[in-house]
Amino acid sequence: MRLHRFSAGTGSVITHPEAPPDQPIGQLLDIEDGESAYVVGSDIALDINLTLAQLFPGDVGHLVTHRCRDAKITAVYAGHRARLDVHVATLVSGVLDQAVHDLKIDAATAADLVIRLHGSTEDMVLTNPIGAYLDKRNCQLAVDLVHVVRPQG
Amino acid sequence: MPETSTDPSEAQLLRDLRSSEFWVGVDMKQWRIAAYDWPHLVLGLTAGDGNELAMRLNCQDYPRLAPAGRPWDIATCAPLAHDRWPIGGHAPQIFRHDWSHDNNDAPYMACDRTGLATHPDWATVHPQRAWNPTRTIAFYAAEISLELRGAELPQPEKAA
Repeated sequence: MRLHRFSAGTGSVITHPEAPPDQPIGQLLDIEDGESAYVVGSDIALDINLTLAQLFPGDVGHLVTHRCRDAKITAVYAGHRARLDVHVATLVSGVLDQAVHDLKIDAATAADLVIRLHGSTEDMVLTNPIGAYLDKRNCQLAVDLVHVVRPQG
Repeated sequence: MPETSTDPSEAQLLRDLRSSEFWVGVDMKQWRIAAYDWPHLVLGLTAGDGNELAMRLNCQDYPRLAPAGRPWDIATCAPLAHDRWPIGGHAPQIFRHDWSHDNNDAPYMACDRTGLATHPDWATVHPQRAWNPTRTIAFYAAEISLELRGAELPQPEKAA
């Protein structure tokens, strides 16, 4: 089966295209001391003795490994700030939704927003877990909500 | 789809289609490979209403040049009828009836070959959204997906 693994602070993913479904994830993945593994989108730490087939009913799995369990996010939009408490396995799209809610941004405006690491010019990937952007030893992160600038004319 | 190719452009595209970034999008149901016939690739991209927009991309000279895309009708293997182009959200700014029709049905985007060829300044004015040779097919797919977030796709009327 195919396994996507997101690691702390990388902002990227490593795919195991043909991960053996009956192998425990603790044997399959190099999980450091102090790290836990989570299913992306779930806040329950995994038993690393479970196999991929036990964890994922289909033929695809998404995991994030991190030392932090919870992340403190500061979201900035047009000079306003919101402080969010999320799980490291929360999707970036979920962080965006929560920031939009807490900053009381209307739906039409929200549909035009992307989310970036504070000061960055690159969009964060909405389908990545926020833990992929959190540094290994730092459970805090600042993000900007930015309007998409489209070519006009 | 072949494993590799002697054509360097196709070989690079095939590598990028196997990248983690591309596969995460596939497994998150954001996009899929609907057809492949070098130099053309048809991607199916999920719009905000859950329906799928197919885009046929000419990938000749990839990644030096951006893919050149147009909405596509998978059922008929022909360009998608203009009355079935995405609507709602920001789709009308991208699938422009006042521009795209005269430009091979191209999306009005800096990640697309036609948009860049007709607006050479976009590469410097919109570098975050523009294609450059370090980009991959996952970037193109993500850019289209972003613009489809709030879009709906008119569906063909079913025969009675």
